[in-house]
Amino acid sequence: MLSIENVSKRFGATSVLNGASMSVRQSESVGLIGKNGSGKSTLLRIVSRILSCDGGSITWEGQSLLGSDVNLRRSILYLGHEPGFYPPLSAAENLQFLAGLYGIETSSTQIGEKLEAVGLDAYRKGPIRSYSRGMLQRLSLAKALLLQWSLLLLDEPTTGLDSEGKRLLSELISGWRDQGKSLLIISHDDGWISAHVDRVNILQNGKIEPKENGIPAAPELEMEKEG
Amino acid sequence: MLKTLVRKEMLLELRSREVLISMITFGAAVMLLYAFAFRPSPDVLQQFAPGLLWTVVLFVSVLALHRSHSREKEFDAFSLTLAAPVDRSTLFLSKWLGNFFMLLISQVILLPIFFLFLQLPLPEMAAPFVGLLILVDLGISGAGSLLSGAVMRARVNEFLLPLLLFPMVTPLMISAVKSTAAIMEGQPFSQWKLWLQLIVSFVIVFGLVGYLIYDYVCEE
Repeated sequence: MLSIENVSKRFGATSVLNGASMSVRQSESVGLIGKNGSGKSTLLRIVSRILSCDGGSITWEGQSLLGSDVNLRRSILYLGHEPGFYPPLSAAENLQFLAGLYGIETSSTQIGEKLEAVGLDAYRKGPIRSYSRGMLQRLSLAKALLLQWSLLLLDEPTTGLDSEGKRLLSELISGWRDQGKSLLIISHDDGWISAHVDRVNILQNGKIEPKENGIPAAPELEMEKEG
Repeated sequence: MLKTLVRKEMLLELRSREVLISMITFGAAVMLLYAFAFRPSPDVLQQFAPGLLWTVVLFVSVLALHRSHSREKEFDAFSLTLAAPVDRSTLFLSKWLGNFFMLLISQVILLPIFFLFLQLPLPEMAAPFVGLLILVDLGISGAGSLLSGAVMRARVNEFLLPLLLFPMVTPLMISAVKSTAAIMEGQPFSQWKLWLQLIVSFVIVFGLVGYLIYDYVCEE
């Protein structure tokens, strides 16, 4: 289980997270919504140890994620809002490097299979610098297919995806949920996220609250949707 | 793990070839400028050659050091490594080794230009000279990798890096110049032993500091 307790984070004078708490249980899929700048991505980056936090605790399977035990991160995969790849390298080279980081032996055939699964096999050799946003998003999904993980952190996974890409993403999420994997998904799309998770939380004013069924989203979100 | 990370550093350079070409072009241009613009007499040149050599190496190193971390920001590539089960100390070692290899490769090309165009005799004590190059390169890349990581998220990191690096490596540079001069003049080891000890101390101190604090340096 992922447990986030009273996490706080400031950027200069701005307090982004102010005692944020939530949990993701085993085999559970949880959504997190909130307006722009509310700190959703910041929270995911803190859980992934890309960002440091100013206070609070984060535990995974009962052990602190904020400590120095890097092996705990082996079962957590972060797919960020930004691609998280090296532009001069090809898709295959990026995935090969990723596999190396997680200590996984992979053949070029296996990597080819993952790229084929996300519709990028034809583009595997060129540098990813020339990829479109949607192609980069598909490549991110190939990360999740390549590695063995128990908890997936997804930050705005639908960004840049065409309708076929969104369908692929939905199929993958559905498959992972069937396999009993845990997911924490961030999205602006209230409707899309509700269809892919067990429950939805709202992050506002630095705190996380459950979004109850039948209760409308936070006023800020309503305004954003109207805009 | 270290092998995977260093291989990535080399592969990135192999694909883009932006750093090595810049280093060699810039280094050669500065050396040629010294050789043709000032036209110093052989005696004066002999006296100033070690200083010229290490000034060029230091200027050239900034290009590699800056790029080693700035390219991690493109496509938020650093998040791939930071979120992975990789010890941050190992990450520092990979940056250190990557920058060290860049410096070494650039020197393989720049040193013949230096000796040829400045018409300097090759050092008779070749092995100590090469050993000294390796040690000083380790020192520059160690301190530089740490600083480059520390300033990578600053808005003006390209200015900040040399501003912080040059004062920091001043003891290393003085020791390198003194040792190089002694080697080129063929002085016995006892005459430059103290300078060498300073260089070794610098490498150990900055290597250890980088290894221990890179975790705090690279996290946003």
